[in-house]
Amino acid sequence: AMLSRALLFPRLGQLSTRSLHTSVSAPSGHHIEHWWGPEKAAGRDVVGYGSNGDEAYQDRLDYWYPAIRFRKEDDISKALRIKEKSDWKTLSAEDKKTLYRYSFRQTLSEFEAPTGYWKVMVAATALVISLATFYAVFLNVYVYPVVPPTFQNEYKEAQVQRQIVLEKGAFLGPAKYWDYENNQWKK
Amino acid sequence: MASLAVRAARSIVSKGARQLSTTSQLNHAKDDIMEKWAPEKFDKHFIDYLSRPEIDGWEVRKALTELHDFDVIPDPKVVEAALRACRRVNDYSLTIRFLEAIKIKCGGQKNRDVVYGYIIQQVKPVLDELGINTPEELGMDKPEFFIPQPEYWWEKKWYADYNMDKKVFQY
Repeated sequence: AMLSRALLFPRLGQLSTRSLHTSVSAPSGHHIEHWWGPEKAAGRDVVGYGSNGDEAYQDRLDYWYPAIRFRKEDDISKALRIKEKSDWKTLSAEDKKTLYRYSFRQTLSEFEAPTGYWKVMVAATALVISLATFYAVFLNVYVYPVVPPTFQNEYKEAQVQRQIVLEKGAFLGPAKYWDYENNQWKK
Repeated sequence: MASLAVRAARSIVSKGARQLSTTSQLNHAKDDIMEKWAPEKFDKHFIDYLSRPEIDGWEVRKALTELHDFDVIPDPKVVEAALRACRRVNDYSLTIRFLEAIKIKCGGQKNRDVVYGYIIQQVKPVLDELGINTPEELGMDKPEFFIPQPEYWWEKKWYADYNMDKKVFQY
């Protein structure tokens, strides 16, 4: 009976053993599906805590010391690290800058330099606004019917005139503001 | 239902016990957060930590990160201790990074000129003693490289500049 079951369900054995695991994959118990930090950091020295303890490189003004070095150690940096252990006065300016670049991606001045990306943003915004305007004009010209004559100023004025003559709107309308004795608007 | 009643009764008991406590420990510790420490105590805390002979690189960065968290421009004495700690763990790049962090804490250009200049002037002997150059001396106060942000803009010709294997139509 055992044999036939194994033949019928070849993966059942694996499944049952897998379901018997009592530990979780992440120590916190939280299942993390997309967590590339350690993979991206592969080979780089972990030198600090960073902003949240993740082994990821990030330049942030509020957490200025990332958790890992920006570059992997290679022959150049290994030679420099040995040199770094001795007196720093023996390091040249070039060495010092190279050391910085191995640990960090960009300097403060580079971080704060204007990128010019606001131009892309303004261009995209202006494009959307102009497209909307063109579409509105297109609708007004080709789609909507002609505005009725009641929208013309002459028509509206004639309407007010009619209301005054018929003494319509003595409470809220134009007749309230019309002086019938002197035939003019009330002062 | 019974378990509910038990739980309710238990919560009443625990609340009652808390209300009846006669100690007032919390009141004593009310203002004992680092934000409200006296400047001398605050500085001493960091100087003592950074001056430990057995400090390692991780701890130096942790201390500098926490110092960076506070709304404080570090005192020259703290700066000296931090620079010496960097020397002890043989991390030169961290000294430049730390001097840049002081600039961040100074804020605007005017404050940077005044306060950062003052701090550099105060720690000048230590800088000379350890052989540390300021970012200005190394020419790092001006941008050297441009770092593209592909989510905003990416020029096709940059594929070649960055040695990326991407077939792009060439004119």
